[in-house]
Amino acid sequence: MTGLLMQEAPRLASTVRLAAEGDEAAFTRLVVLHRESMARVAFVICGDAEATRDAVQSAWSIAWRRLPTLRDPERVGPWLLGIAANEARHLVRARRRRPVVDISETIEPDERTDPAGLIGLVDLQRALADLTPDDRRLLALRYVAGFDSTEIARHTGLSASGVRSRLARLIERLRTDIDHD
Amino acid sequence: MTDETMFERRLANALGRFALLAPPMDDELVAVTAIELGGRPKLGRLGQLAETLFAPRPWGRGMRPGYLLVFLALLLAAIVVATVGGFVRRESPLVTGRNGSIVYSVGPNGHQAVQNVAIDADGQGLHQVDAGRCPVYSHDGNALAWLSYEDAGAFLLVADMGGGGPRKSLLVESAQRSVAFDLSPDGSRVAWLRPTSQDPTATELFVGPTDGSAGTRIAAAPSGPGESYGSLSWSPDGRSIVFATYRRDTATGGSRRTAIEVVGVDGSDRRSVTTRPGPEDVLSWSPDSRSIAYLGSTDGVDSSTDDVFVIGIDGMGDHRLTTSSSTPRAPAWSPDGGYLAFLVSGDGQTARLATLPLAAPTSAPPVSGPSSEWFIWSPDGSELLSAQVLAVDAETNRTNLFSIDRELRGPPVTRQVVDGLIVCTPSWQRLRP
Repeated sequence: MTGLLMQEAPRLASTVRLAAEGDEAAFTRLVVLHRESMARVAFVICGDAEATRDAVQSAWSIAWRRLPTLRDPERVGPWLLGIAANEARHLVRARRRRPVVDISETIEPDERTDPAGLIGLVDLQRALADLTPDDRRLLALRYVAGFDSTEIARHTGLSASGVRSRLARLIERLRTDIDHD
Repeated sequence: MTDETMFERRLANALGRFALLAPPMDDELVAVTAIELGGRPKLGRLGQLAETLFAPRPWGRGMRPGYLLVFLALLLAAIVVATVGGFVRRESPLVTGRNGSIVYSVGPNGHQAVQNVAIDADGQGLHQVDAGRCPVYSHDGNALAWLSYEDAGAFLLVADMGGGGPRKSLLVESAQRSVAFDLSPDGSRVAWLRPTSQDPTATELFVGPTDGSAGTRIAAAPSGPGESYGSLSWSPDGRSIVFATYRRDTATGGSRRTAIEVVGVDGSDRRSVTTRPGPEDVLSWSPDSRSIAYLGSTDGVDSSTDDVFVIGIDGMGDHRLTTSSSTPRAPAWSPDGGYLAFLVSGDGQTARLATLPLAAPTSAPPVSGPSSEWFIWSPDGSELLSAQVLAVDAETNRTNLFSIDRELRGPPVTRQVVDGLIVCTPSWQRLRP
């Protein structure tokens, strides 16, 4: 699991329990702790700021309603990231559009093409835009949330082996798109 | 390293950098909006209708003449029914069943608004209750109270079970944060934590009548950095209030308790009960108002192993009732003082109900019962009400509301099966013996 998901478990658990019982201050603390990581996952799927904000807001509304169903308070981080990813996917599919925002203005010049062989973000954005929301969700959960295939399967309804094979195909496709252009 | 592996590493790196472009958002606004969208009725259904009808908007846009006509027609019909029937119903519909009603808020499946419902003590007589979200009975069962978050601030509404409209008191001039409060046993006064004007994260302890009159500050905000009050609870004898001081860890966002204090309801005789550190949790008065049950640590401020302790309000007789083989929380004294109930959970395990007979030797382990989301004692102390949630699918939940005897011997008895979630701990009305 990446550092994105690591929390002080016992303290976090008590905050989750209080929020599940309707304590709005505790819920606000959860938002402070997890909103940023949820936005990062959603942004990879949505591709633009407006849709990301909508997806994250929607995810928190669902989280507020469903917190009492969370069996293990210490797993609230992955649980929230899964909701954010699914809301982002749902929102993009509902709006039936691909990300069109040009991020090149927001990227530092040395980020666009990296001399050390890193993938340029403009190239990445273009490649992501050609993927389906389902595929972008897989990438976000694997490489931004840090989920393994079993965890991804839990949040997507796929089998763990299905997740692994789809990710392998995705990586190969992106390698072709990005490295061979 | 293969080309595929190298590319995967580059891809992970790029996705991580790309994700950093995610837009910033206002955490407070996100939380408030999420709670609003989660369904929180203002002043109940009638209040919402009145709000819709009389909101100060331009005529023809917000004001709806059709709604007004329907409202007047319903009002006229109600007057006719009352006149023809020769009576005006005065008693509250909540006072049903021999042992008092159980009121709770349900978040139905399908993203519908939260509803308040009540059932008789035997689980029958389900009916809707016109109140705000998460209403609670006063200790004597004669009043029902709830919070209403409005543009002008957070208000407390208290409705007498004998009838009449609710009394309304302004607690905080802002509706942006939740307000912790507890009623006096007879529901005539309220203690609450009010944010200071200088620092909204710091709170002061206030006490005031529930008739709308101004309250009095009985404890100034704690002076330490990152400290705030919480866990306030009015004693059963009505004379004192217990509360805790928590210190926020800015690195983790979590808090640990640094002190438990008791103060007279007029602000007099404030004294420390214990400085034993502990987690954020409830403080439970014994029925005779002489002791407090709480969670505490034996290992220091940062300990993650907490146990149930009982201490006299004079700070004497502090003793541990559990050992740390599992994590307890939410201790609650039975109304007759014979038992303590709490939830216990091991690593990664669902919480289970547990009770501990206080007459037994302290070395006796607590009795563990069924899995449980929360619990409350029945007013007569013979049983506990609790719930288990079954996630049917991603959008559908089913809550089994059940009771079980206090020795946790018998099987749980289902009181209601709720299509949705019970969004906060219910409240069980205490009726006179």
